Amino acid sequence: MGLGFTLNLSVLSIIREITGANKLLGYQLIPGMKPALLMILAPGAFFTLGLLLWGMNVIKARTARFKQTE
Amino acid sequence: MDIKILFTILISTIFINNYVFSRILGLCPYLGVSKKLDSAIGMGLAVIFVMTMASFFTFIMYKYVLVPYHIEYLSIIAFIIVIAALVQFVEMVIEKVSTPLYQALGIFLPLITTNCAVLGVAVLNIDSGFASQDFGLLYSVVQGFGGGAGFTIALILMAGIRERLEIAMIPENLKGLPITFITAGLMAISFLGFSGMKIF
Repeated sequence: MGLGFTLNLSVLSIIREITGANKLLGYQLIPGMKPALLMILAPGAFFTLGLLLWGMNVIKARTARFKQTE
Repeated sequence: MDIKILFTILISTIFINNYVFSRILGLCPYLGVSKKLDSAIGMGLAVIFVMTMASFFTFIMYKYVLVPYHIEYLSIIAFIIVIAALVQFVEMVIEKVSTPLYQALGIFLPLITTNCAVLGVAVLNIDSGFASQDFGLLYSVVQGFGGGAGFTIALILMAGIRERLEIAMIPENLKGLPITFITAGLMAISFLGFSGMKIF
């Protein structure tokens, strides 16, 4: 459970850092691109987590459907 | 003492620095209990009570026990004990007074103990430097009440929205938590509009 939490936290922070600050581990990624400040504020966290949960649900539904057809 | 300061603290903890939307504290009861409006109101009142009393008792404990004996580093243990005793009290009262509410809240009632909003308000009271001010006790109680009221407003708004979302046509995979998170994000954007507001 701790490892899952770490993985989730890493994915969340990578997405938020790239979109919110245009950086990864402190290094600038694309020079000249303006980052979306919203993503490093509180709403960005909610959005990213919601979209991640949506993605997880899609994957879960898909694997369940594949198992049914087998 | 200036009544303006109390008003400023109250408005800023309810709207500008809302514990859920701008500090992202106390999310687990926020997402867990906001399914039904009735239980959300009960939970909100319980959190208001616990946060107000917790900020009162932790402030007294910090100023008159921890600081004189130079044991400020034990503040987290002391605060947690105070909060746990308060939550135990609230749990017993709710179980006796309203059994349906007790069953509706379920695991989330004892979880107020580790609710980061409650410990957060106790620690923030100390960080705000209220301990060295003249009317610090009053300020910290107002901040605790405002934090609880802000949490309750967020919870009740969310419960109302979620009751409507239950019957709305949304994609199958978005139902439940994902749409709740996205709604919370939209509400957090609207609460961002309060930031930078000057009260006086």
